[in-house]
Amino acid sequence: MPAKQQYLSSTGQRALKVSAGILGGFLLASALHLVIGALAKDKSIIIMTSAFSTFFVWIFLMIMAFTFKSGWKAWGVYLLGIIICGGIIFMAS
Amino acid sequence: MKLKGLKTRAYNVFFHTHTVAGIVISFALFVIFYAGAFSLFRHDVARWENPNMRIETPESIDYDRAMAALESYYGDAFAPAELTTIRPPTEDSPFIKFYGAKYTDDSREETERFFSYIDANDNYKVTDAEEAKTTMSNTIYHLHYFRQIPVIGIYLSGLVAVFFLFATVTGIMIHWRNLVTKFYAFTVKGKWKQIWTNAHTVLGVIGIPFQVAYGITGAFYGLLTLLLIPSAFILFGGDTDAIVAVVRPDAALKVEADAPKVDHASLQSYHDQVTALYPEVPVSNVRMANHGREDGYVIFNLDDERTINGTGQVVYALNSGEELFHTPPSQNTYTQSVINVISKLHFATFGGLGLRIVYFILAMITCFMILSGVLLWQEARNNKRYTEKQKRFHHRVTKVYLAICLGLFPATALIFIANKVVPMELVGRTTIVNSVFFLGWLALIIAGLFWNNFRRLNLNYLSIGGLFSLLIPVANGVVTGDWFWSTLTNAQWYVASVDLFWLMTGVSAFLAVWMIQRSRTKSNIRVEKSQKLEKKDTALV
Repeated sequence: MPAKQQYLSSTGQRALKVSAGILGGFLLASALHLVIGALAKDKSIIIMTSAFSTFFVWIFLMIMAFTFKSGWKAWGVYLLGIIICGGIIFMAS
Repeated sequence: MKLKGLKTRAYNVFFHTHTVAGIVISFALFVIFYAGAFSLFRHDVARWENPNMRIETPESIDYDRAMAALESYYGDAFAPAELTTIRPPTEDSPFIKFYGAKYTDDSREETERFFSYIDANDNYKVTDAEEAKTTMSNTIYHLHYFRQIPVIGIYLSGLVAVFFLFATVTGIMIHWRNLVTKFYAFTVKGKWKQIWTNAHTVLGVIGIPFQVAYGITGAFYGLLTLLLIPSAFILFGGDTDAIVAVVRPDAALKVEADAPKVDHASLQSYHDQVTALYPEVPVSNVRMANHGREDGYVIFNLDDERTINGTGQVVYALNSGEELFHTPPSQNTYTQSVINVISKLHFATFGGLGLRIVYFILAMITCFMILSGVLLWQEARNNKRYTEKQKRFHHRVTKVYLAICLGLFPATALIFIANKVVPMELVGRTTIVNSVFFLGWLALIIAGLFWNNFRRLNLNYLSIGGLFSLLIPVANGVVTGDWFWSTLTNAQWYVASVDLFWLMTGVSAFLAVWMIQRSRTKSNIRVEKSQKLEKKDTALV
C-alpha cells in the first residue's frame, strides 16, 4: 500500500523538486500568464482568466516537477521558462 | 474494466506526494470544510442566534430614512466619501445591514470600516456591530479561513486550498487504473484498511467537481493578493487601482472628501427607478459614495441568487441623475462574470436553500474523506515493515489529528449552547461565548490525547457531541421560551430548523454509538464462539 521506497529519490532531491514545484511552478505559471497579458491588447480578459487558470497551471507544474529524475533539471527547466517569459515581456513592453 | 494507469515509478512517486501533501494539510482542511459547511447557513441562523431578530422581515424599507438614521448615529465621524453599502432585509435576516467608514481622529484623515444593523420595524434604530450581542456565526465563518490567526491566517487557508487541489489531482492520477472497477466495489465489510481505502477513494471520486471548485475558488480568495502582485507590477506598472478598475468598472469613479453639499433626488427615487426597470430581480445591495455631495454616485446591484450569472448593475450620478453604467441582469461580459461566478460557486448563492443543503452534505462527505485518508495512512503502516517507534509515531499523529477534527463537532455544538446560556445583558458576552468555543475545543483535544484507542476516541467524541447537540434546542427553549414545537406551529422556520437540525444530529449521534456498540457485542460473541470451536477442534485432534 504505501509507496515503495526504491522508486523515491533522496531527501535533497525531494527538497529540490518540492521547491521547484511550489515556488518555480508559481513563478512560471504567473510568467506564462504575464506573457499572454503583455502581448494581448485586452489585458482585462487575461487578468480575469488568471484568477482561476493560474492555479490549474501551477498545480500542473507542481506535478510535472516530480516527473523529472533530477531536481536540478526541474529547477533548470523552470528557470529557463521564467527567463524566456521575462525576455518576451521585456521586449513587448 | 481497467484504465491505463501510471507507470510503476510515476505511480509510486505520485502516491508519495499525495500521501505527504494530504497528511500535512488534512487537519487544517478538515477545519476549513467543517467550519465552511456551517458558514453556508450563517445568514439563515441569524434569527436563532439573536432573539431580537425574531421578527417579520419588513415588506419594504425607506432607504432615505435608513441613511438619515445612520448619518445622525455616527454624526461627524461618518466618512461619506468612502464606499458605503446598504443591504436591504432579506427573508432570513430582518435587519438592514450597513457597511461604511468612519473617521478615527479629529483631523479627519484616518478612517476605519464599520458594520451596523438598522431595525426598520423599530423606528430605524441603529446598532453598531461592535455593540452586537452575538457573533457566533461570524466566529465560525472566520475560523473557516483562519482569520483568528493574525495577518497570515487567510494566506495559510489559501495555501491549504492549493495543496488540496494538488492532492485531489494526484489522488485521481494514482487511482486512475481502478477508477471504474473500484467504484462499483464499494463495501463496508472487511479489514479496516480496506474500509478506509474504499471510503477514501469512492467518496473522493464522487466529490471531484465539488472539490475542484472549492480548491480553485478557495485558493483564489486566500491568495488573491499573491495573484495580483505580478500583474500589477508588470502589466500595470505597479498601479493596483488600475487592476481593480478592470474588475469593477465602478471602482474608477472618484469622489472628493471636500465636495460641496447639495440637495439631490432621494435614494428612494433612484431605487424605485431600478425596480421599475427590473421588477423580477431584487436589489441585493446598494453602494454609494458621497451621498448628499455634488460628485456622489449610487450603485444598485441586482441578484436573484437563483442563477450562476444573473446579476446586474445600474449606477447613477446622485446629483445629475445621469446613468453612469448599466448592465442588465444576465448580460455581464466575460470580465464582469469571472469574479461573480467564483463568488457564487464558493458561497453557494445560485440555487437557494436546496443547493446549500447539498453543499453541506458534500462538505461533510469531504470531511469524512479527509479523515478516512488519515486513518488509512495509519492502518497501512500498522505492520511488521515498520519499527515499534515508527508505529508509535503514526499512532500519535493520527490521534492528534482525530482529536482536532472530531473535537470540532462537540465544540461547534458548544458555541450554540454558549450563545444561548450566556445572558444577553452581560457586558463582553461575545468574548465569553468565543472563549467557551475555543477553550472548549482545546479541552476536548487534550482529553482526546488520553484516549489511546481510536474506537474509544471516536465513540467519546460522538457521545459528547450528541449530548451537546441535544442540549441546544433545550437551551434555546429555556432561555428564549421559543421551544421548537411552538416555533414550528408559528411557522418560524428559521428558528425551528436550527433546533430540529441539532435534535436530529444528537439523535443520530446516539443511534450511531448504539449501533457501533451493538455490532461490537455481536462480533465479540462471534469471536468467542469461534474460539470455543477452535478449542473443540484441538481437543478432537
